[in-house]
Amino acid sequence: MFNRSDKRHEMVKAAILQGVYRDNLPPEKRRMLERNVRSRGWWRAGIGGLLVVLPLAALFIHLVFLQGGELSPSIEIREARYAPGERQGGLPPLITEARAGNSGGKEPHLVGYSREGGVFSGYGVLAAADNAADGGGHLPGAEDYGLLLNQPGMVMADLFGLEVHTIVIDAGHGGEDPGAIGPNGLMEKDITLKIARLLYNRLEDEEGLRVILTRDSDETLSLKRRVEFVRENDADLLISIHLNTIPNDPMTIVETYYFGPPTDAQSLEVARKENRHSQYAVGDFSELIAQIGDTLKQQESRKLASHIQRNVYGTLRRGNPRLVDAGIKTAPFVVLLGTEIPSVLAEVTCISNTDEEARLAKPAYRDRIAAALERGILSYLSQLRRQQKGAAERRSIIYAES
Amino acid sequence: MPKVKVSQQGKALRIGIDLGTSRSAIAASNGKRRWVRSLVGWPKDFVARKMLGDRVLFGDEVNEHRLSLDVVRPLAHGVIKSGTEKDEESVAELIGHLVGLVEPRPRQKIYAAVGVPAEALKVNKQAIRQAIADYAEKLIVVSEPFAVAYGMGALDNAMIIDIGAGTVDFCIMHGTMPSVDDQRSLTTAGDHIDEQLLGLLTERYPDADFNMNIIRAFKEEHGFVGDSLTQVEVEARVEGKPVVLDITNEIRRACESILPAIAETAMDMIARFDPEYQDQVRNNIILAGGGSQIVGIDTYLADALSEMGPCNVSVVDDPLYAGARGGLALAKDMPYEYWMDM
Repeated sequence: MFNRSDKRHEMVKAAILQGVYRDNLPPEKRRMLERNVRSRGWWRAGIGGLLVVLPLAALFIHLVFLQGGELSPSIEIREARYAPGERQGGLPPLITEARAGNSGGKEPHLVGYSREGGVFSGYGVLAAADNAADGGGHLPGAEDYGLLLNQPGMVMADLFGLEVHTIVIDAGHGGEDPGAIGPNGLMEKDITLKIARLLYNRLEDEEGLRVILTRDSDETLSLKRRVEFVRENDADLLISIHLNTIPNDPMTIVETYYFGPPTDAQSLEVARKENRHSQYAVGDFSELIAQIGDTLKQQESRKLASHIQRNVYGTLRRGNPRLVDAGIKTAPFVVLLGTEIPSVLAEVTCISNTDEEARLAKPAYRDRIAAALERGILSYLSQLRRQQKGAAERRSIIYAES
Repeated sequence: MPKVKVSQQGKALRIGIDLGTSRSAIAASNGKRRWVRSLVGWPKDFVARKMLGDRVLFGDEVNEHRLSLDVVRPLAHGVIKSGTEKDEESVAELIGHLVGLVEPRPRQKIYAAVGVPAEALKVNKQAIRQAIADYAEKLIVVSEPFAVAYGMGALDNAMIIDIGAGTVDFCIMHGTMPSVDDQRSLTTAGDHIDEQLLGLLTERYPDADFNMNIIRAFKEEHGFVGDSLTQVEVEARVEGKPVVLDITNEIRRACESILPAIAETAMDMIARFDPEYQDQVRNNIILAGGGSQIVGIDTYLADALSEMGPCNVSVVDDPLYAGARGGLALAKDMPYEYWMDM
């Protein structure tokens, strides 16, 4: 059936082997490979005179490390002229590369890569030229940032002083979108709302937390609108509540997704569609995706997801020994790249299971789920606070030395 | 002219591994090949350690001693569960065990190509790489159906359906590395059949004692779909006494339970494929994995797909080793300079 000696077969084989090779390269080598390919492309574009330079009078990035503190280290880039993908000369020592980007029609933003391998990107952190002169006071420069980064044992979560104040609870679906519907007609949108309200009531009592619901009634909300809502409210943490459905299968599973780009091709595909009209080349995006794996958001979302998963599964398994723990997963909800906060999507149980549907109809069971989510969030927060306490101590030492 | 002596030790052993939810297999360039059930067990307590020694157990040995062991089935549901160290550790132990089975020379370098369920590759490629890294000098990880396709030389206009325990993985090959659109997974697979069968049998014979191992053995020995020629009778225990039970209908229903979803997915994927080549793909459907051993499954699927036009569904020759063989072929064909870069 398959003629192995066929010349075409050999060529196909060579192409496939190269594909496997690329697919298995360590991320840094793959990035190098992509960068080389792209820089050659831009060279050609330059010759053709096609390079359109986007003049941005001045770009000003604040990376705020200490919330409410007097010290506000920032990185400044002035007189930057960027073409998408172009490397900019004269950058502060911290940044090896910066590019202008425009993601999904949102305001222009800048993407930079630090020498330490981290990536930062800022939405809405760019200010126009007139703001650049806001001056006044000492702004510690890139050196300070480098100093911080070079401390042994320092992780990004420590650096950004991430303290959770505002939690957004998102009840999945709603309004015209019923979500999944159980075998006896129970609708996902109603149950997620009820669980969200219960969780709200529980968390509201916690000291120092501000809790917000994306919807408190049966209304239609687009995913995009939810993201905007999260941003508008300066949220620090997002939990989106959903119910799973497994058609034609009595199995009931619990799983928690954390938003963000996994390094798989699927997210790239979605990103390609989402960013079709942006100035991002797909190559740029895949590079960003590859690097975002190490970001703060990814680290923290993963931790949050595992706390929630453990608590929800642990709670619901009592009384349902056949419940399956599907673990925590990433999924390419690329539109949520925009929320730079720990965000998870909890599929708390399956509405497609008849027994489970009956349980979900009972207030006591919903409250058990809400309680489990609360425990997950609180245990994550207490872990975060312990970490930050350690980080604050280290930070004070660094500043004393510098 | 000076003679150049090539040290055997310097020559790397190429291995292909099929890391499955139910079974894992290895094939090596030294001609050896082995398989083992994907079960890893650690002695539970002091008493168990006294009896079994302070070691990790694998495969059937785990089943034998399962009461004294903490048993982990790595890649249950086709993925490493994130956050559970035991899962990652068990994958590493299993790989170490498999590599030991093909007896590399002491200090011999190992270049490995490992096929994993498509879902695991997507979700936790990094964890898998880390688990394997200790045992291989150089390493590539690919999806299981892709490894099977490569091993068979089915690189162009073919569809592989790998029916495993945790997932059914689909992969269309069209002369390049398969992209996301060319691959899909279903989570109703071999394990689902076991659950269905257990449910059906418990319903029909409420007094009989079944467990998952017994159920799985029934499936592996008697699994079929479509028309049966003979009755399927098995021996089971009712209140401790051996009796013969007729399970013909139950086993058929359980095995058939996963097929509609498979047929539908296959049709959908073919329908999205370049119309010019749809005929070719339809005539090149290859079933692999443990599930391909269900009697009559090829005919059933060919029948279900026939509404799209004539099609040809075949079962891979050697399902137990097809993935490992494909991995080995990849490991052997991969050019040296590519290996050096990894």
